[in-house]
Amino acid sequence: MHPTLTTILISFIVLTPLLGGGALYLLRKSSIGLKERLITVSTLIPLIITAFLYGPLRRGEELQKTFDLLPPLGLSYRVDILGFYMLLLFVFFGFVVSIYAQQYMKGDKKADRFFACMLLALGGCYGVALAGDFFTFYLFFEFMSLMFFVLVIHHQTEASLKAGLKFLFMTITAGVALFLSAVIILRETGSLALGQGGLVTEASPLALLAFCGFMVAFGTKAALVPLHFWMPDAYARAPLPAAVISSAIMLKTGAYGMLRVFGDVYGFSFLAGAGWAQPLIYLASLSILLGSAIALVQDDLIRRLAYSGIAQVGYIILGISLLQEAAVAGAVYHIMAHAFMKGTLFLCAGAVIRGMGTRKISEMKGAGHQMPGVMLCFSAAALTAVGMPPFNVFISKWYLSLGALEEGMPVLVGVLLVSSFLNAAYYLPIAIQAFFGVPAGHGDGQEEEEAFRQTAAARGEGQGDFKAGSWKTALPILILTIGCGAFGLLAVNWPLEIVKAGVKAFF
Amino acid sequence: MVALADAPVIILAFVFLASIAAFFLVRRNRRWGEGFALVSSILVFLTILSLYPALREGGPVVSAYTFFSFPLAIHFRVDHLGYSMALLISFLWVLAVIYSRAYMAHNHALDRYYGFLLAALGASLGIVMAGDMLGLLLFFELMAVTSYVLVIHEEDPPAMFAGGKYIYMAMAAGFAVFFSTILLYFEAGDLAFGSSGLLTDATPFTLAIFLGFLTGFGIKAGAFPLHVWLPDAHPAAPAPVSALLSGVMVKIGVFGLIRVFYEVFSIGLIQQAGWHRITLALAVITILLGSALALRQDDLKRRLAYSTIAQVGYIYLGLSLLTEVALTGALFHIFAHAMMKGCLFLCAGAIILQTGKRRISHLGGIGLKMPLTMACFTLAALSMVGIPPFNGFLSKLLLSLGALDAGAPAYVFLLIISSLLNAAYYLPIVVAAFFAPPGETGGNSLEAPPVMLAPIIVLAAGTFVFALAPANWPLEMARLIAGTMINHF
Repeated sequence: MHPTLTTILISFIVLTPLLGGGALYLLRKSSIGLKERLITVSTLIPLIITAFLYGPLRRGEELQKTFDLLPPLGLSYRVDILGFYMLLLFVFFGFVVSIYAQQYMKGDKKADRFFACMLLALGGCYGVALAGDFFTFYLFFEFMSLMFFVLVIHHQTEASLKAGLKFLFMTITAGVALFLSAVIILRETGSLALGQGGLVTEASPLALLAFCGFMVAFGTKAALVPLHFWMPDAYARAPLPAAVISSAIMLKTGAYGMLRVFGDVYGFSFLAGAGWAQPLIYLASLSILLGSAIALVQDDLIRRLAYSGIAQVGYIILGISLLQEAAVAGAVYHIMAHAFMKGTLFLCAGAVIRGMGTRKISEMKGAGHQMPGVMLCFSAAALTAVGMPPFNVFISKWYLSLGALEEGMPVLVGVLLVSSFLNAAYYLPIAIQAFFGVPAGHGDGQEEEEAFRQTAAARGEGQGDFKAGSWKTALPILILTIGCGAFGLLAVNWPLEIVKAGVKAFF
Repeated sequence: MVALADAPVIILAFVFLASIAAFFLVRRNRRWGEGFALVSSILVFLTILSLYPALREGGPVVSAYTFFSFPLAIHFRVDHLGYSMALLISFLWVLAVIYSRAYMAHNHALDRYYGFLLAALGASLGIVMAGDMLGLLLFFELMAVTSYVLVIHEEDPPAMFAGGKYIYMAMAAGFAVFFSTILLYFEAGDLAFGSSGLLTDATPFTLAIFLGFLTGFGIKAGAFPLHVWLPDAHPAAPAPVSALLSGVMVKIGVFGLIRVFYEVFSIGLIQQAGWHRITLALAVITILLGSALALRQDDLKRRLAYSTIAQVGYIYLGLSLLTEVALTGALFHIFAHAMMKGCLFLCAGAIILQTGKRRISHLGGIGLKMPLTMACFTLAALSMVGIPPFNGFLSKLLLSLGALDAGAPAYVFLLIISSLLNAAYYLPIVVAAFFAPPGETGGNSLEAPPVMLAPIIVLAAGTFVFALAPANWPLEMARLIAGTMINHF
């Protein structure tokens, strides 16, 4: 492919959702059908372009370029295997979730604003994955977070504003920390470029300060304990598709940033020598255990999913901070595994919440009788979370455990297994009570759903089970459920192969 | 041309497809669906049976291909041990499906029942035909989930409670096996069975592997102190499922341990490190505790469940004595116990279905109303006690000889005490059933329908016919397996 053409194509991965978001705002008076098509197209095009990047990438073509924009630093993009993996994940989930959201937000008066901001946020996420240096990364990272704020406060209830502000202040703090670190690195090494493999070569106090700054920034985004406070509130108050996007995509930008810091700014071997990542192992273990334990006592389904997300991101950070090839591969694989698993759980949760009219787990008894398809997918995803073979999480757990053993820390295998057991303890009852032991029953609604219902004339419309519902609910759920288990059943687990190839570049 | 090596895969693929088909067929037309489930299970049994000549001529059937990639590929391998287990499992499943036709006739959610019944068959067969620890783990977890749905089938509060206990312990079992599997892979770099011991050193690390496996498979086997789920889950399940749980599924836990003893480690290593003493101690406690608690139960199925715990102790004992004769006894007892406990649970199901009585104290005179059922119950009970020529006698004989071989005559006394306890909790049921005071003997015949009687009679016959034949085929098989396993080293 001609380099200029490649550049134009790659720019459009980011530009399409941004333009789509803008166009949506301009077209807010036009018909719903047109707007829906616009949303679909603006998330589909990045997916198609990204798929086409695989060929050149495999042939070893250099996919990077610096633009003369925003001097003095300049924007740049760069696609390596790891970046491609993240990008593919982001554009795929962006597309799937936007399909689901179209049905979910039907009847919401402020849906236009929601979708416009969602597309803009997605554009930001894609930009993060494409970034060729930390300045570009920083730019899109901040943009994405600001757009997400609008999604969190969507219902504009008092509680959602409070949750949104909490998120906003924490994300601004994260941004400031990232800025500080980027400035230090720029001053010390004269470069912010990614893919150079270790810009920092000396363990100076400034470098350590920058490292801490990076960890605060990305730790906040990835909801690492003790920087996780924003997440459960934001998820519980935001419309569900926003929570899915955050869980499947935005959390992962935090993990991805950490990976880039470890691999490209400092280098894994440097960090292993300096020992700076050691505290992260403890924090990640704490995240895993604390997140799982708190999830256990939540009765609000969304909150349970949110706390479980804290635990799952703990897996990823644990793997990265072990600084060992198998563990990092496990962590990067878990980025994908968690996205599919948690995505399925969230989408099913949305369908069930709409179908049963409640968010309380204790009132979801017998949901499987009313919505067998949705609850079957939920159960499959729950078993994925527990780490049953052949589902994805089993594979990440496998590599994380191998890495922990390689590093001589078998106790971490125990941590993972305790967390798996806790996962079983808080997910399986939902699946069990949906199908067994209880007759079908209804419960009461809740505040945030109330806010939706007041504006939604279309409540209940197309939110039953697959048969009764729209394909826009059913198809995303089915696709994600298949993604939970299919890769391990193939003769070659190609995401795993990509992950291994991508991680190899760091070691 | 289908190669012989593909047989395990074809069998498994067929069972899982059949389980899905059975679900939808039963939903559409119950009779057709039940017929389909029966035909499928018979087909599976016959296919496994037909593998025998190949196994005898050519040794283990190893699949030519590897499958999946989560994260490693798995393959299948049917050796004599796996083959005998597969044969036993599929045979009992055929009987359970036949029996279910009458027993479950008025039950709910039959589509789910038959679907999961066949899926559990597939999972169980997968475990015994797996060629490496990862494949075993895959089917082990699958069995936990599928059998859970069978255990809670009645969906009443006791079943849900029992099921909750069961699923979490089964999950814990899966995690324990995962733990040991990953440690094993790290240490040995390989998970395949069929070599003479993947591990060669006794270190704290390999001890951790051993203990992890012991915990995981011990939970499934229902051995002390991990037996707590068993007395709840086995009685709560529908009778055909109880028969399968007690008859074969607990044996799968023991099967896993045999793999650990002889394939992961080696008998020499275990002996040298002295780890068999752990399982020996567990076996003693399991036997005594199971029998003692069985004595105190008034609920018929609970008594049978505690008795299962004690009997698993026998198998543990035979396995941990590490002599050829004792291992033969343990393997033979897997078969013997499957026959007698399967028969007893099916009889209990027939009694409960026909009379609605679960309590042993209410069963006086039942033998006159259900003569055939109780006659079979009696045969199985006598086999439990260990009277010749029943199977129970043979396994006890072999275990005792094995204990003497190992220079530990104390275990012979243990077996004798357990036999006495068996007599103490089985024979009163029989005596009360046939020789009740005259006042309680009135009433019409309540004999179970032929569909239920047939499996009961087959199993009752299974408790002694092999002993009467000139060549005791299961015993020969057990000898052959034990011989190859012990002399391998």
